[in-house]
Amino acid sequence: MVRFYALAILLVLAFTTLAQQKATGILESRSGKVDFVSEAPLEIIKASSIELKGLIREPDRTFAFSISNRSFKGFNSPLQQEHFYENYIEATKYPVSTFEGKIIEPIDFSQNGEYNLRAKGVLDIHGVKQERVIKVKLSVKNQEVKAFAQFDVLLEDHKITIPKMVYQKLSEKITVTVSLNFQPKAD
Amino acid sequence: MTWKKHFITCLVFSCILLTSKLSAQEPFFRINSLPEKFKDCQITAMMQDSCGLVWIGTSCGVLKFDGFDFKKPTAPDGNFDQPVSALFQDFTGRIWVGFRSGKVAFLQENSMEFFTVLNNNDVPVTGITTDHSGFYYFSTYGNGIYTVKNDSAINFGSTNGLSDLSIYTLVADQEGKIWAGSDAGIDVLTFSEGKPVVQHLGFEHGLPDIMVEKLVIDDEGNVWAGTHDNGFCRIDSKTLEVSILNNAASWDFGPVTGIIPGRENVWISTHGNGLIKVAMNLVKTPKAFSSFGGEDFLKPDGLFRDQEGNIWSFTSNRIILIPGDLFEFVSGNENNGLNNVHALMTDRENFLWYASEKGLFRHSPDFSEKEKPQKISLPPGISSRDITCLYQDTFGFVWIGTFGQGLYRINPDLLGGRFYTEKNGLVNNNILSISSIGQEIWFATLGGASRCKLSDGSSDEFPVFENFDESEGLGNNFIYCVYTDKQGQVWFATDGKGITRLSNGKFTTFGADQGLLSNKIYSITADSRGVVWCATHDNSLYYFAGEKFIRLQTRLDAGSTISSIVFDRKDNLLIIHENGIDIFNTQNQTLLKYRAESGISPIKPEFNSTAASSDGSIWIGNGNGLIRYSPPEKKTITRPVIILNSVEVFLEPVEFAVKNKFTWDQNHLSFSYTGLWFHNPANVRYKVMLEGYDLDWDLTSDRLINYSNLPGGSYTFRAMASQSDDFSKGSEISYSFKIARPIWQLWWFWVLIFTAVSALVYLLVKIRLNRIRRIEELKKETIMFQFETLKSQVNPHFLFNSFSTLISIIEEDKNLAVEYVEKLSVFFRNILEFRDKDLITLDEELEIIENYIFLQKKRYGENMSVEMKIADNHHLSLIPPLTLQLLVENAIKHNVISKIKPLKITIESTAEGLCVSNNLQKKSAVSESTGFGLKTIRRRYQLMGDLALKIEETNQTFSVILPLIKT
Repeated sequence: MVRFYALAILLVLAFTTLAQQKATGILESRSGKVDFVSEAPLEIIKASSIELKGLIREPDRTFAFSISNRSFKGFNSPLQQEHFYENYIEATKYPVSTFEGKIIEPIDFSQNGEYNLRAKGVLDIHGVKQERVIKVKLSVKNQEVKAFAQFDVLLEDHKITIPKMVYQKLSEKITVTVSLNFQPKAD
Repeated sequence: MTWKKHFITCLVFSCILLTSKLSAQEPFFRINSLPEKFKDCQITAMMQDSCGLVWIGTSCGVLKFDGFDFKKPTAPDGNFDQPVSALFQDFTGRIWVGFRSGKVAFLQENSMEFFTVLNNNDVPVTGITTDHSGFYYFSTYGNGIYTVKNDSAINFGSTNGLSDLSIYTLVADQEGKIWAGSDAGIDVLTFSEGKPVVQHLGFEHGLPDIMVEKLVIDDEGNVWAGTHDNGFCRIDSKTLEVSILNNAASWDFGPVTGIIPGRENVWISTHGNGLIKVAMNLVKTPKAFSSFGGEDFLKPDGLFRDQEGNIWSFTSNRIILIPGDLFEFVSGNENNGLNNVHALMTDRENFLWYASEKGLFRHSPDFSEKEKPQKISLPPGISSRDITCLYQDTFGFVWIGTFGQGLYRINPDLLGGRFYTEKNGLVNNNILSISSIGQEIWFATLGGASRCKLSDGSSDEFPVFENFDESEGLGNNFIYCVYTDKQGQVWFATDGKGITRLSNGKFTTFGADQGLLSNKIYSITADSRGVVWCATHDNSLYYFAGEKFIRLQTRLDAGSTISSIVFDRKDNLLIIHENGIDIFNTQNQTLLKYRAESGISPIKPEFNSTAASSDGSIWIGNGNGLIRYSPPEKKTITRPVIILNSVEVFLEPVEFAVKNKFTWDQNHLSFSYTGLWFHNPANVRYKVMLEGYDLDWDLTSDRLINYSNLPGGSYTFRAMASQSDDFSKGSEISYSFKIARPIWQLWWFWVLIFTAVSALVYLLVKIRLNRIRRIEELKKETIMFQFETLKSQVNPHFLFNSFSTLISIIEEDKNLAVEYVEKLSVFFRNILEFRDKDLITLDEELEIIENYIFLQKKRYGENMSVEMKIADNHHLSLIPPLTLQLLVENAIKHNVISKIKPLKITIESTAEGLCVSNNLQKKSAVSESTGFGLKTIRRRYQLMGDLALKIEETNQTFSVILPLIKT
């Protein structure tokens, strides 16, 4: 009898967890890192943030990512960081950068493997929205999803103007590298 | 119109300035931007309509372009000035415009109107198409597809099987299937009874990429798909089989934004690498990619080919035009040695051999900036400058003709060669041209012709030369060109003796008697039917018709010596000269000129320095390098299409599609027209005529003509356009209209005037007659009155009474009696004096009445009193004579006068007139009251001008008011 109850409880538990997983179908980022590099003739500037957060909804492959612009650390000097916050990205006015959209290729997140996907969405930096298709490398291993992407952001595209005096120190083209770890959202 | 000319010059200049430097192998192109007025507008879409006008969708509405002006179509308000996302023309010719806002508009009778049937909101309309069953289809970026028929719209979305609601592109194939490209591949919709059956195409069906951003239908009805990452593919519209035409995995040119399908060449516009021309002759492995357009043109958003064959593309602020799409240019540089190419040939591997100032080179047919040609080493004694011609024989030997050094033959392995000169039996060391029939090779020289027959392909064989000169039958010994035709005949172009033909071992010379008016022949060629053509030194072309040469009548005006003529495989004749290349289409006898506007001027071509390649292209060597000509891919129009832009009356535009009647004073008309010829708009000339006014055609370059002071009548305005002054087969417009004649030129107006004048004359005569009658009457009346007055004054009663009175006075007072008689006599004298007059003054009348009263008073004494109150200003007023006397006499006649009942008469001037009144005490037995007196007075006043008397009779008084006539 005890064994029967134990089994019953186990089954119920198992079903509820399964049901929960099916019901949410959402992958939530556990950790997310963004690096950017500006390679100008006179100076290389690097900064990174580990505050990238995001969600992927499995059934319709839509996603949303967001990062606080003030979370970028690194730079070559505190003054440079301050310039980045206030003059270029204008973090007071535009506190976050976002990327929202949809994964083009169909994908089954329950299948382990390596996938090359394209994420199409609207990249909102400095308050200027640009539609982008970004290539993403995705690996799925036992429900844990890792994503990696590298892409360029043109300052001109997002109306970030740099003074002529520093154009030798700041590149027009910023290379951005993103890596994320996802797990199914469980609640 | 000098400003207009300036404008065109500016346009041409700006085109030249914007042309980037050619490098590698590139077509020539011109770049335009929108005019200042629209400089803030971003271009979003482009197409050409069936008339030939180019439509441009921008972020601020739609524009149309005729090669000169960018114009907005007329619209009722500014609501149409919003971002355009789709353009389409249906079978009926109607232009449709899809907006980013989700709205759709169309052009109705030249004016924009919103299409209200569609209730799509917020998401952009990305595609519009229609099928032959009357359905219209609208794709949206977010709301799927709408179908519309008979004013009802139905929306199709995911429940109907659509893979994605955000559609990039929409086309209908020839069978009515609707193709929609999205991020999920292609959905092919077949509608039966309004319900769609969706077939989905994705990776599993062979699509190189599922992000399908552009779909285009080719002439055969197949669908070409451009993808975001993996290039393009062709899909058979019947079987839906996908053919990948490029190496999809290695596509690194970026997203495809436009495709011009083709069998030989496919044009692709890409986001990131500009325009790309893919040669399809080597299926699946495109050999030649060339991207160009420079920094300005890396992200074109679309592409199309117009009716003239020009290639158009656009970025957000630039329009690129490749005129004609026939020529590619390779300019000379340090690497390729293409400086002043003076001899040219293609070998069996389609490699190009060229002799230039820098040497003799062999190069692959694809020129890139980096690739270097193979330099062929020449034996000592031969300079590359001496090379006049190159020829490869059937065994693969390359024969090099030189000027002065004889012949040099290079072995097929390129490792060795051998010299042949006069010493070896060659007729002359100055070789100008080489040709062959099989193993029989002919050499044209400045000293006659040589022939050698090769028996085998070994390099040891020493050919034997057979020589021919004037004595054997050649026209003369100076031979510019030798040409061997398909029938095995050999044709020699001589300097001074026309053409000599060798046929079946017999020489025949053709000169002026055989139609060749010029005897210096520079170039000979033949078309695909074997008809021989030649170019002469006076820049004429002749073709051989059996026995005679016939001069081509089409005006060439090359302006400089024709250096070579050559046919492409579609029988278009290329005429190459210093001012450019002209192409004569032998089928429709039209000549198209390619000059500076196509990047071909000036060139310095050497005589007969052309080479045909097995892929159909023709290479032309010139001072700047090489030009590669490829025959036109599609049949194109060869003449400008003329359109009527506007008709204006006194500079006010009229709706000329419907209005063609004008009033007599709307007689200043202006016509504006354009010959659409995007290839070279400024080159178009017009022949215009106003039938009914002009006697002959007027030749002009203006696109506007005014006619002022047109008399009434029927007219037809006609205009034709041509880019070559040959108007025989050009398009024509005509507009018939009527100007009404002015009213005075119409018959009924004169009838009316005549009637009116007649009526007037009649009326005048009538009035005059009336007046005469009235005067007559007045006269008669006056006479009657005078007679009556006289009658009454010589009335025996009056005289008797007067005499009785006199008798009584004579006894009593002698003096009084004398006075009485005097008064009586004055009275009668006055009567006689005034009776002829119409009017007398009141004073004169008062004198008569005073005398009369004096006479009567002596009779009635105190029983009768007369009171007179005349205002001073009335003394000179006028009155008919004896009027007062008559009234006073009447009063005496009709009233009792006694001591108890005295008669009081008052004569008083009032505002109304002169009032004569008396107290009324009528006699019981009225004697002789005929009423004649009053009637006469009334009548006289009437005749004098409708003046009326007023008679007032009460119980006590009787008064008459006479109007006083002012002097």
